Amino acid sequence: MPNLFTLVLQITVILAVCRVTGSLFQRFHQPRVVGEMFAGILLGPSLLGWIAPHFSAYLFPSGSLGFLNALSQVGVVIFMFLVGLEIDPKELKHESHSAVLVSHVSITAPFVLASLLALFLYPRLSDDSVSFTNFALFMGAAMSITAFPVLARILQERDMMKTKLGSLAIACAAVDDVTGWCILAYIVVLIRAAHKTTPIWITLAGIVLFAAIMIYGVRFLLREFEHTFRKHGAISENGMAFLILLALGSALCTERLGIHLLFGSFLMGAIMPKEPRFVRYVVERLETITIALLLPLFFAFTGLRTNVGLLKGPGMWFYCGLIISVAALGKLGGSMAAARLSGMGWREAAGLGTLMNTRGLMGLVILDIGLDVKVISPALFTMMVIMALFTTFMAVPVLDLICPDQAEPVSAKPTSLPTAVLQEIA
Amino acid sequence: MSGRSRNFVFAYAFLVALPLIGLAGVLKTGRGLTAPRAIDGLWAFQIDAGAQTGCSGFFASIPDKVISISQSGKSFLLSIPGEPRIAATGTLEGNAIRATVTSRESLQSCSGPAQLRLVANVEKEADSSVISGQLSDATCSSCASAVFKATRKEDAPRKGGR
Repeated sequence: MPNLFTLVLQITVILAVCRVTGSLFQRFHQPRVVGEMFAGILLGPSLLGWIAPHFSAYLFPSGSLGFLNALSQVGVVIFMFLVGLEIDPKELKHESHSAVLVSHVSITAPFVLASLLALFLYPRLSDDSVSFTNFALFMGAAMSITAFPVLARILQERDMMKTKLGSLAIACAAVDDVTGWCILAYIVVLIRAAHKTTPIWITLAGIVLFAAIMIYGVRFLLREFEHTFRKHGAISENGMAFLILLALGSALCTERLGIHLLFGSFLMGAIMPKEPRFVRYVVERLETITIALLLPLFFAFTGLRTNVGLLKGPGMWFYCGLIISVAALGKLGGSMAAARLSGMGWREAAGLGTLMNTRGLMGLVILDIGLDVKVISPALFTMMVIMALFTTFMAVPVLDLICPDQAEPVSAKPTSLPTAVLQEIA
Repeated sequence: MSGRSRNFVFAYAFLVALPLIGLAGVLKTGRGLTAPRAIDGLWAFQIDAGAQTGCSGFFASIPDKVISISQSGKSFLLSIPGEPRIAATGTLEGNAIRATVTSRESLQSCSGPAQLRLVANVEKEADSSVISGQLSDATCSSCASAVFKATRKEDAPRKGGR
């Protein structure tokens, strides 16, 4: 049984630190989420555990972390449902040539560079229980992801949502996220299959069948929610509870199939009806508890696993610097080059590259999975967390530098992105 | 095919298809690489009963004598579950393990504050790995080294897929 006092104390301290740090970061025009991610690291062994080990051991005894993790994972499951909900496949279908090129290059460039970097890092930061292929593919997936919610928040704050650059960035980030999660699902299946007696083809067939049922069956049944909403202007409590049940049920299915809880909730969100008012309504009812209460727990749990003390000596910091440079070169450089080849101006291309380079919370979620399945070591996890934080942190100042004025507005096509959730997330 | 579409096809082939072929090459090359031996996980620590004096006396007090190793390539962090104040950092070179115990509160051995050093080898025994070696106190030349053996607590390491 969890020690209730310890758990409530942990939640209180985490929320307080996350709120204060998030507000401080907002003062410097950084998205709140960056501050909250940073707060998680402050609460971990990198700072609190280092300066006050007794208090840290009292506040976060190792036996209590399982409960904190469970709560935080529930939060991430619902958060991934919300992220899936925000992604509108129709927007992806209408992509122009340039969007297709930029989105695909923004995946392949960091992916290939990360796998090249893996040739150097594998003998240094991994061990022989991890295959090189899994290691390299994971590094690629972690580096090619884009933080869709953070990116959307930055665009919204800068009033760039309806600009050519903004809509292109949103479309590309959506493609990146979907592709990144598919690649990650494949890696997790490979890794978990190595420890199972079930042949991998059965697992893969199960996943394909599940996805087909969801996309071609469940998706049409979900329209009933939208019809009810149109008719009554609201969804009953029972309806909302059923919606959450569906997200959790889908998460359980993918976990059972051998991928991860998060894929199921993301998929359920992605196949939900995309009528903007309906999306906003659902999001508004789920966001407060998820974003204000549960996600900070995830940041804290990630921070507790991030130990900057593991980066001892200049060699380790060199690896860390190399990871950041390769991540930025691949994502920012790749997107920028593709945008430039598609006919965008240098400034716009650089702005797009900078936006695509934000990894934020999505990066942390992927890294946590990597550490869970032990495809990355604790030191490499720390380096990758620093990379995710750094690339997210750099977005706003770099954008200020290269895009001080707003880009060219495009047609007033309404975006399906629910602004309320983006405000809260970021 | 219009000029714009042709440019798109060329750009796509150059920036997407070509790197993907390169990725296949990288993955093939990487298969030949070797990473350090895996020692990550929980280990049951057994110290030679006859030598549990002086500097090794501290290890006799470890609950259940379980140590946890958190490995990152050639370096690792050795800790004792439930004892956050004490940790050892070490390196792994081939099969050879070297570690130094660091503590926020000085460990007391027969000659005052101890500076424990661990020198060991990791070997395969049947299906499991075994770490065997010696613990010594660098500050105490008269203290005898303690011989120890550690065996994996898990049946098989639950790691990232090989």
